[in-house]
Amino acid sequence: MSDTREFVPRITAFVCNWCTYAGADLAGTTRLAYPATVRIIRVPCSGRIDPVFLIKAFEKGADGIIVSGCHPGDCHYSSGNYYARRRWSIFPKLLEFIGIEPERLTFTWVSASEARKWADVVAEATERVKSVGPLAHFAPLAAAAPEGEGAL
Amino acid sequence: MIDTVRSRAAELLKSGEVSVVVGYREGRRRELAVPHFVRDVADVDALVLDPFCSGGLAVFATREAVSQGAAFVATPQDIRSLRVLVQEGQITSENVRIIGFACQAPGNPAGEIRLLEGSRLEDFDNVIECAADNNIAAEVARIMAMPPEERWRFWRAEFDKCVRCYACRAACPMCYCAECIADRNLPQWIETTARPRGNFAWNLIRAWHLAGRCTLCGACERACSEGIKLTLLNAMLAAEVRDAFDYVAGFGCADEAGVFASFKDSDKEEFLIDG
Repeated sequence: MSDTREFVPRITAFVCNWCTYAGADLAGTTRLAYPATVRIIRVPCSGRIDPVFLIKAFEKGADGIIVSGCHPGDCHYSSGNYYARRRWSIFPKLLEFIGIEPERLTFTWVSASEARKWADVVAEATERVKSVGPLAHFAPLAAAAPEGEGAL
Repeated sequence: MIDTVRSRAAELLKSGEVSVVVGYREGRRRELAVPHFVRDVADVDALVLDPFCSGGLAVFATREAVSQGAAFVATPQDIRSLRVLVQEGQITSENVRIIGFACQAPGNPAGEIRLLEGSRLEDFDNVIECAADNNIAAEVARIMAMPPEERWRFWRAEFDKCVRCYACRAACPMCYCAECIADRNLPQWIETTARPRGNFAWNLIRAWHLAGRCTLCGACERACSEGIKLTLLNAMLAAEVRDAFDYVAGFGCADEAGVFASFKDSDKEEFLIDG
């Protein structure tokens, strides 16, 4: 029996405490509807988001990732998002180089008042991940034994 | 030419400018030159210089026994590595002297060697040219042209070979962290067994931590017992950093922060998705 259910992506969102988390909260309190595809992880600042978090999220079953913080100039710690911006302009290229589609990664700025934008970002990220399907890369890695081990 | 190297090493030791000269001596095979630490003027005659001096001696710069004043028989990449270490506050340039050389075909017995003018890191501002390695650039382009699934299969095959010996880390001048993220277990970000999942995490994070810092000396790949194409990852990231920020590791001045330790208001952000 084939599975005909629609693919619902699992998206991990790393968001900063001061802007995007508040924006997402506002989206909730103003009852904006957006796809229930996103699991939010709140961190102090977009500058706190280490690329190893993204790798871990993929290992644990995420199909896509959203990274969002305060707009440039609005960082609670004045410059964390500028460092993040440099990092995030390069790290996705590494993932792309090893074969992870860029559609799985969504980087953006969402302020505390941009509830609408948050809803739109999640909707767009969901569509982008849907366009490339489930991430089937990492699950087999967990199961795989090193070469030759099975023969012992 | 080797006489020049030996006499400069002897001068530096005699004058007390440095307490050790880090160079090469003959290995057990013709195709091998191994690191040699000269502390006594009488030992300078063991120093050699040939196309098998593959570079990478900058890795010793952060070792305590060497950081208090050392001269390095250094390739252009080594000189750049040392400049990155100064930039990152790991060593002070006053403690470093250079006996620079460049080989036009490293590893090839017929490779021509010339000595570089200069003694202090600042002297090499204009002579640390690195011939662009078109072979690596072409290989990066070839992989990028593959469909994503094929790229994944390519790297899966590469990373599956990894035995997690961390020889790449030990050989790298930039991998000087007292506690590497790969050794941390609370929380454990990177699985430590030599299995595919941890191998992916390790190799990606290793490459990432060298982005904007790697000078493409190739020591990691030469140290790898499994022949994993580590330089491909490093070269790909170096090219991206160069294109995005007009920044090449080791070319900046020492008082300028590294590419990911600084920012500009005008940094591009076309990669952002705007909802």
